[in-house]
Amino acid sequence: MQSYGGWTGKTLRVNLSTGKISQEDTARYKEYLGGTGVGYRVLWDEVPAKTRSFDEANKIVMGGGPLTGTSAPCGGRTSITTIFPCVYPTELVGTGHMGGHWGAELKYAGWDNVIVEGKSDKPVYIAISDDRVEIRDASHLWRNGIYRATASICQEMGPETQVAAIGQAGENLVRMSVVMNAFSHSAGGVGSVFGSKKLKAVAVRGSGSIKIAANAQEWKKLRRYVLSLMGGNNQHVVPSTPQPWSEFSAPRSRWTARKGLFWGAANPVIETGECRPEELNRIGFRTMKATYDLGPEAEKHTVRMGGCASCPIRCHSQIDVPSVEAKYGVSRYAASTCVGWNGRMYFKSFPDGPAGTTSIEAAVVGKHMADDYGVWTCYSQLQRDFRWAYENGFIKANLPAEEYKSIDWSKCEAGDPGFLKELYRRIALREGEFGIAFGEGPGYLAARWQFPQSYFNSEATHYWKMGHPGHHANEDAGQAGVLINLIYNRDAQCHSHSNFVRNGLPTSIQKQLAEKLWGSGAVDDVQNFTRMNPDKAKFAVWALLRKELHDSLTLCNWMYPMVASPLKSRNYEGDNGIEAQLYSLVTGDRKDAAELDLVAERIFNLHRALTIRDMGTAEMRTVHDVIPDRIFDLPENKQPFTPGTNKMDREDMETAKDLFYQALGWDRKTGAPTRATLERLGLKDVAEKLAGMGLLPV
Amino acid sequence: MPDFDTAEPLEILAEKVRDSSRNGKILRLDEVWPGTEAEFIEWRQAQASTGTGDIVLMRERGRAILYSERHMTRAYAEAAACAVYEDIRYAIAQTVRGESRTYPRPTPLALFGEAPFLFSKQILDEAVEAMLTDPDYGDIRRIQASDGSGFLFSSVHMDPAHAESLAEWMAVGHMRNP
Repeated sequence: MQSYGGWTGKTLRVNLSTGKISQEDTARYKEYLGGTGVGYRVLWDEVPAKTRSFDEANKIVMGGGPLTGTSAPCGGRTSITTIFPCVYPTELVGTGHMGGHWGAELKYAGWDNVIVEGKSDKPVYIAISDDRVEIRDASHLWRNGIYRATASICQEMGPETQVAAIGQAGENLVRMSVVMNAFSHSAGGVGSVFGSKKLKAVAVRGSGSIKIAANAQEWKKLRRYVLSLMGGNNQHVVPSTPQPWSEFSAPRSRWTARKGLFWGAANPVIETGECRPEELNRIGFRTMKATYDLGPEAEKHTVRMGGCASCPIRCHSQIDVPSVEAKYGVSRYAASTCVGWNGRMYFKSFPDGPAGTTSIEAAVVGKHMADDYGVWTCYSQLQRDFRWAYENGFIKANLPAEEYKSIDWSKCEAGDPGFLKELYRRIALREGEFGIAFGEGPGYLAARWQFPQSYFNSEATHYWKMGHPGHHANEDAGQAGVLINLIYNRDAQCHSHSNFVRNGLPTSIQKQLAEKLWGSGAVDDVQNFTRMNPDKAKFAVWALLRKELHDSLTLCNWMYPMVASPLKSRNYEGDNGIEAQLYSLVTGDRKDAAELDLVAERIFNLHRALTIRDMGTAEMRTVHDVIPDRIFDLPENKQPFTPGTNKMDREDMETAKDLFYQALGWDRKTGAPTRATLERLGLKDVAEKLAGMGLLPV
Repeated sequence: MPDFDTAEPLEILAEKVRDSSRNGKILRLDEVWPGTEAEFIEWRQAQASTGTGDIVLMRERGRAILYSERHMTRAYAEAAACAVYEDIRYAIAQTVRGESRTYPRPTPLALFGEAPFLFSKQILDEAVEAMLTDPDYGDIRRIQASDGSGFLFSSVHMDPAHAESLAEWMAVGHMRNP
């Protein structure tokens, strides 16, 4: 690795059973980049088939990739790969991803990845200070929330320390738990694996820097180019209101800055104003996320926007809501984004309406409870499951009478945010049937309480399969969205496709851009979908490979790929080769977009192989890649492929799977990678192993 | 014909236009030019001036408008022109038809409270009510999403079912699927 930039060349391995701390050359993982790529390779090589999440044999692979911490725009994410606890009914490979600054700090400390194996018999945390790595006693931190644990570790290691910690939820092996850094950046679903190893945190301080292959001028030029193509959050490339400089606008665009919209709690207040695409120093004002997520009432509470290492977008709203301190005993200051604010979703209504002060208070209380206890809400599935179970009588039916009476349901009915303190405590501490059941995750909850088919068929629950919700599926991108939601063992967390279809440009321009990339048939008017075609399969494959690439390099999949841009001078075209340009300049390993996509395809196929191995079947098409009936059956009064619906057709989706598998070089009948495909991707050893297990398609 | 010797140089006029455009405003020709439109065109052509090619003279409903394309797009200038002349029903209809045709999508009523329109709720509501029974706007339909937010669309350019589902998607669906 010494000849390449970007990577530090060192991977840290910590064995919590033996206490052994060792280092390895990252070179063995070069062809998997970093992040999820390294995670999948380690799991394939070192974790036996059918290992369960809490088994000692399970491992945790944490890290970024060659771009993390290099000042590549939006290059600050960390992937945490393990056997994922929430997958139902069989725990399988999955990744939690977090932003913040932890991944960059790890690189500054001189490490590419951390592999944690074994299991401690007492609470510990891993302290990394450059080359000095220790397994330290964490008994004084155990049973502390994430906030206090983070603060305590920073007192021990220094205020610059980046701490990835679990809360009580992870400690108590609540499947629905997170690892969190920087108080608001969480990796969903992996907290309890830490807890199973009695690992409270991995804390890192780095005093070094990262060598990159490019010279300073080249690097600055490329960074500036990337910034010039950048839109707002989620690479939305038009503003949300008509503005003089822009030909187009889109009401749901996340480029929300405008005259008269302020960070109202800043001192002095700051107007977001009109942020023109050429004003690269004002990118951080483009996305006023507080009002986007919380409504107009949030403007007066907004102090500023925050975010991750090397990211100019700043999508985390930092708000000040003084009333919550006295009323609910939580900090008035809160930072989060998107579903992190969805404490509101537990309530049917609020006394002052859906977007009033109480709603914002609920968002703040919910954020603090979830983030401090370290509970994962799984793209708000926890909230949807709670509402569904409550409204359909399943909570009352399944809780012992005494336990049910012990919960103050009047607060829930009244829209009192104080209810959330009780709800999250019960889940994090596994108190009673309520706490245990909701902490298990959707699949296990549904089985435990024997939810009827109506739960699985409900648009309100949004359940997809295997214990996770749909995430940018047919509602966004028709068949391509469905295909994307088939592949992973948790919710897809893929935004490559949804960023494109929601970028705010007219469909006619999206089709022009699509024609160059996948074929103009790849995208339809939203809610007016057409039948499946090969272009849509290419679109789905591209979206997935790019997501895998981003989680391995790392780059933020909420911003990349940047195939559309706000620049009329470029006919709104972005650059499909941006990731390859960044990779090539940083590492010195020159690859074009197609060559880098091949690496992504390798990583993606390894995930598939792991899934096949650990499910013990190659019958992916029928057993794993299942589609919920509701997308074919609802709404009842609509027909597929007519204006005004995202309803899909069963036969058409079978065609979709055919075309998708074909595009990937997978067996059409089973949906499993063929030997030829695996060997083409340099995974001959994987092919041999699967063949030996009878899991390779004939 | 204005006196060329006393008329402002084109560069100065151009800067006025640019300044307005930068601030989101269009200028009526008669605000900066005392003569006719034809005289302005003749005068402009006669000026030995370079660097003012960004100044656009646009006609909108018979009125002459100036804007700088360096700072403003034609789409915005057209919308601003409608708003400036308080031709509210026309402004609404043009916008709605344009969005239904171009994107395609229904137009949230809330849009008309933003610049360049800045219509008050009362004015907007009155205009929409009148349009719904005006044959000149027979294609403009009003729909409502489940959260109560109102939208308009043009039935010439959008299927009603599509408009309704998109309105729901924009108002509610996006937030449920962030």
